[in-house]
Amino acid sequence: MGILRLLYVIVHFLITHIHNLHVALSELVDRIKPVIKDRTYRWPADCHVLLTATTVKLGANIKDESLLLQKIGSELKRLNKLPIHVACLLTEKDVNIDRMIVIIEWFVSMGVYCISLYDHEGCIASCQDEIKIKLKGVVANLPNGLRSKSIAVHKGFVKKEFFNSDSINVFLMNHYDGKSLFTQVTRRIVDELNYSQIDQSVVEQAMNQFYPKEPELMVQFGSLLSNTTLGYSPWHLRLTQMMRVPNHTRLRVDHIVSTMLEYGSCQQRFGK
Amino acid sequence: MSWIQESKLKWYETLAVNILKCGFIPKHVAFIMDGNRRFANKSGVKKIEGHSKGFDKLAEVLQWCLLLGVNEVTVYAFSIENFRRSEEEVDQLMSLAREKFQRLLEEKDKLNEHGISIRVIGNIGLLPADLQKLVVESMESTKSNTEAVLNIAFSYTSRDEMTHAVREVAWGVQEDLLKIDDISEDLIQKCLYTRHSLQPDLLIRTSGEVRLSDFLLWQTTCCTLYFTPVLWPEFAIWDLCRSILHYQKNLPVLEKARKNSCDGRRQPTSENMDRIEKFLSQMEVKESRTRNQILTQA
Repeated sequence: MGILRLLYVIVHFLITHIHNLHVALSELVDRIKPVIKDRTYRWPADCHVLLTATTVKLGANIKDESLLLQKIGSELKRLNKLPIHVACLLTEKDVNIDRMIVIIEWFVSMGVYCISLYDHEGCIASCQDEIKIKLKGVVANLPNGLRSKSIAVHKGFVKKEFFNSDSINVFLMNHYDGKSLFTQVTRRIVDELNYSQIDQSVVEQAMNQFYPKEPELMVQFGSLLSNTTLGYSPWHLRLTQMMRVPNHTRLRVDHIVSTMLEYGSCQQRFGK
Repeated sequence: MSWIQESKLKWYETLAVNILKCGFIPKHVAFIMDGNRRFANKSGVKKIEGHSKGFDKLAEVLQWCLLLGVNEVTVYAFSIENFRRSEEEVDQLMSLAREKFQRLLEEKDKLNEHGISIRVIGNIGLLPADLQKLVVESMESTKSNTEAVLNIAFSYTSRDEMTHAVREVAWGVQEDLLKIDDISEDLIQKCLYTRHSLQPDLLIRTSGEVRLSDFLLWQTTCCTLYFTPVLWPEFAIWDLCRSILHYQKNLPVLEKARKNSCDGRRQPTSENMDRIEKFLSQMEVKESRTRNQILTQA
């Protein structure tokens, strides 16, 4: 039996390490290759992606990336399938702020003006000022309508009075913004109300005083094999669609586009 | 069909199970058993037959879990939102549940022999009175078993559970058992329906949906979420094996996150620890009183 057991261990080791090898190799390639600076990504000629109700044609003639994103954004909006709030969950060890700015720019071009960036340890939250300055520079170069939008970079959840839905809102979060927000709200409810008065709508109302609201879409970056939430505020994830994309340093615009189109083609049944 | 099945794995399935067991096996796995109706549509049978097939699959999957060494399973059987389905379907689902819980009571010796404890989590006050009684009876007759646990989320949503926890805490404060200052993440966790369980390590959702749909939101913060396009009645042991492989791969990142969030928490002092303990035991007394009330109702 001893030999058989050894064989099992070896096979298990091999199976679980094939993926490690793949990740290590692609990270090595990333180290050698500089971060993609060329941002005019060319869409393959005659590419079209099917949505439930329509076909979005992404012809080779659209070379301008932000125009392409705008077109997809307005198409999704027409179908009522453009998320209002997108949560980005980072699972990588290092965060490259410049790349994250580019990714935010993609979302903004599509018309998503509320974006939360979450990493468990709070690397992102520590770069609030840097993100704000860089984002301002980027938005100033966007087409007309977007250029005039103001930008707010918040740390964690904020009260209604600090949230302006007309501007571009970026929220930087870590695990302290998860369950502890609910704990804080619980304290307030318990302090103010009798226990027989408390029902789900009371708690919902109390939680709704904080922004951002529930994300419709959560995009998880990195090489984890399946989804996780890593401590993102549990109350807010009730109906959030969770999707995965590659490491943010390797991410291309077509990854984001196909994620958005996949989101656009999903149907929610709300228990029915 | 019975709750307990004797397993017959093929030799290559046993081989796969043995290989997997060389790594960490999740202690607690949660399932969202989605796709019964789509399965029924696909194979041209009635909806309720799809649900019934889904139950058979559950019995099979429980057996696989026991073989793999998973000793706690939580399943999403019926959501509070499901009450919004057509009256006919809700009635059919309720009678299916009645039948299955009755069967469970008939098989309680077998369950006790295997040491399986059944817990129903959810707002059972919303169920028909006779079903409430069956549910409580099933829990009471198996509650001393410790080998394995099956949590059935019935008439459950996570937001309802979290609201319930807030109410319990508010009750404690009102009865002078707690102070506002005692309210912490840990305390809320201890007021959830799942307070007697470990947090799930792996959550599996079938049929290709990629969201939690109000299931165990609080408990899955450091959990591997495995979404698969397979419909629940077609779920195979290979899907389970693959999900466990994913769990094994994700484990280091998740363990780190779990440790990190525990470190950041405020530690209770000995004074409020006593207070909290007292409150929790009072809460249990209150709960068992409610259960007894349900049992004694005609």
